[in-house]
Amino acid sequence: MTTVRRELREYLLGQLPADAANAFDARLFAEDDLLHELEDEQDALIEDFIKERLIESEAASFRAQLARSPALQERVRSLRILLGALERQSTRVSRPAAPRFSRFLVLISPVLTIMLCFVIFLYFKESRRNIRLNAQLLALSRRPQPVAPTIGQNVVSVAFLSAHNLRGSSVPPEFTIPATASFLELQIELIGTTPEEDTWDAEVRRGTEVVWKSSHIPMRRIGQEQFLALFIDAGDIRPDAYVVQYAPTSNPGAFQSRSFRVREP
Amino acid sequence: MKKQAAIPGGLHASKQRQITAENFAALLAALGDTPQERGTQYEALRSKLGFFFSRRSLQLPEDLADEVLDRLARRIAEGVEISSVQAFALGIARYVAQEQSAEQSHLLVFDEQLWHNIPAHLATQNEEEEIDRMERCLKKLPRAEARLLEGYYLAPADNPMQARKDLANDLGISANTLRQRVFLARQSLRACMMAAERKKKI
Repeated sequence: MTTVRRELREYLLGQLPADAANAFDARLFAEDDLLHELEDEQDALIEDFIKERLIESEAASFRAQLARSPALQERVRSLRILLGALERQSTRVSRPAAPRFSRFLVLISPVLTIMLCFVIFLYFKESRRNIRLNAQLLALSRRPQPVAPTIGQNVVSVAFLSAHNLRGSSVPPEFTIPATASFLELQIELIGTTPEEDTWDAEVRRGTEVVWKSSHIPMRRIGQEQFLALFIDAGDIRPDAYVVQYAPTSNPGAFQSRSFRVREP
Repeated sequence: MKKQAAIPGGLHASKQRQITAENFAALLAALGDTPQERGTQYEALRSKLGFFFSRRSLQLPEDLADEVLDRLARRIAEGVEISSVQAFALGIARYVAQEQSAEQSHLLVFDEQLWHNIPAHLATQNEEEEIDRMERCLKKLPRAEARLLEGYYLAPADNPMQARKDLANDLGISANTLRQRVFLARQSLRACMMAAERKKKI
């Protein structure tokens, strides 16, 4: 606090020596601005009193004046009410939503956590399903590559039987064999094989009639995919329903079968 | 003009006062050359007198100020030669203050310890209701005025006077204008509070 302000306060609180106070009185009546300065300082004094910022000697003098002056009591009361209202309003404006929002967060955070876990679970489940479906679609959409495009001068027709039957067991896969084809290369996808199951035995039946049969067929690999390639004389395969049955040579009892239908070309 | 001020406990600020139109005109003439200057000086002198008495914690300082002005006007009208009206008024004010202090010390007893036991910031139950009412009045104020009061009174505690100067600078007004605006805003609040009080009584 500046010396000037200190002097103003001492004058207001009656703490100045008599001579100095008389000189101040004279200045008050001679100067126009001093009254404003004194009024400002008195406001500050009242405010400091309410906010308990006065030093002890100032507070004691101020209380003594307060006891004698109803006008001063009214000014203190009036400013205390105004400050109280301003502080309440300021608190409400500056921190209106924070407590409510944090309370809200505390309440909903367990629910949010559970929902988040559930969403993550669904995401991974769907991702895995998507990967499986993509693999199936890739297998279905890929044009089968013949192991042997031609055998001598003969044309080979290739058909691929995926391990994943998307159409359901009641609807076997269908394909045609071009009239120009001499051989049908029937590719059968294998899954879950073991390293020992490197050769397979297979037979193709039309009803109860065995139309083709072979042993020790080597399992082929292209990347991650494993399959058997059966080379069948196209003349033995006419439009009809067929079943191909295949089993590892080392374990004939573990046979599997797939149905397919050959349509009219 | 006839005034009488009564003080609780039977004390009177002055005996029955009477100022004639001639005396009042003589006072105004001594305060300035133009009507505007005379009016301004009269109000300034009356404010100074009021402040003079209130600083001494004398009862009804405004009535005492009027008492001084009455006596001053009478002396001027009587033809007393006065070099400085303000200085002469101060002399009368000191005399009146002595009179009043003597009277008050005989008639009024103050318990100066009373306020030592009351925390300065503590609002009574009655004041809590008034704070609620004041809040409602603050909401009715134009937003600029409410924010002005907030900036003025809720300034940082370390140096509130500097904060007020900064506020005046930010608003592009003088410190005096800022003080006047705060005064006017508080007058509006006071009017609102009084209206609310009347409504409550009805």
